[in-house]
Amino acid sequence: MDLGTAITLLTQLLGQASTLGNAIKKAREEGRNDLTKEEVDAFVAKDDEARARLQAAIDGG
Amino acid sequence: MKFWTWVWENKVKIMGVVSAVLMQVMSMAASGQLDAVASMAAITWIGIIGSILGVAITAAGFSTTAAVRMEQARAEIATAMAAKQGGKARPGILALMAALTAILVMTFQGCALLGVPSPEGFNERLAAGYSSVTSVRDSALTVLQGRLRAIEGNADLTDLERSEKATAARQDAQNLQDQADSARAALDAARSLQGISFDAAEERLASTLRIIQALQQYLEEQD
Repeated sequence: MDLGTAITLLTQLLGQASTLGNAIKKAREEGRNDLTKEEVDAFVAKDDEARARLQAAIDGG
Repeated sequence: MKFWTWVWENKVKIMGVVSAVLMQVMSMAASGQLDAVASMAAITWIGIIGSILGVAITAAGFSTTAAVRMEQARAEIATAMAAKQGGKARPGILALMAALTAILVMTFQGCALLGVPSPEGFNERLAAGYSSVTSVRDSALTVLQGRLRAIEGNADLTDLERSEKATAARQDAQNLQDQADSARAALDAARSLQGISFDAAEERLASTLRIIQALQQYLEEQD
């Protein structure tokens, strides 16, 4: 793995952790101790998008 | 001159020995054994000197630790820069990444490190699972793109070798995609179980998160 890839990878992972953290933080600020179904759906949708991106790259797109 | 050099080099040890002796003296003084040979003022001064020595030993300890860490950091940076010139991340950086990502994404302690609450509720841990699957896919994409770039940029390869290596890289990515799909399906199953059996849903979620963690670890170990 080259250094550029390693840094990109780390940045992405930090971004993921940050997105999750912000969602939880928002829930706490609103007095909730869990995420709503809609908030979980947003994470599902993001995964669908990531899946499509990866598949396109695998298929040579 | 040599004597003072030796004293300076062994200052912490010397201070430690003197401090231990002073502590013994203070202990004897406290039990009244020195009443006949030392005044209260002398014992007070011994206590003050002992305290100063204690602070000095602590400061020397911190100083030594800081110096060692600075030296380690300098060595890390120098080696990383050398590795960068060769286009490769050294194992130490990968290990650091592995540790960081493991902390940030998988153990969910990362939220606390980033100053936000850690996932606690079922949906929060479920979202953490989905987020981790997404990170596996994103990481696989990044690794794939990096490998394809490296293959394209390698002038020593023949067209056939280039094609074979690119196919292998795509196959690896497809394997990761498939495993991410499995983890995603398990998370979906845990989510659907939530309304039926909370314990079963919890168990499914926990086992799925462990699988994702193993996947993530595999990705981080990719060359």
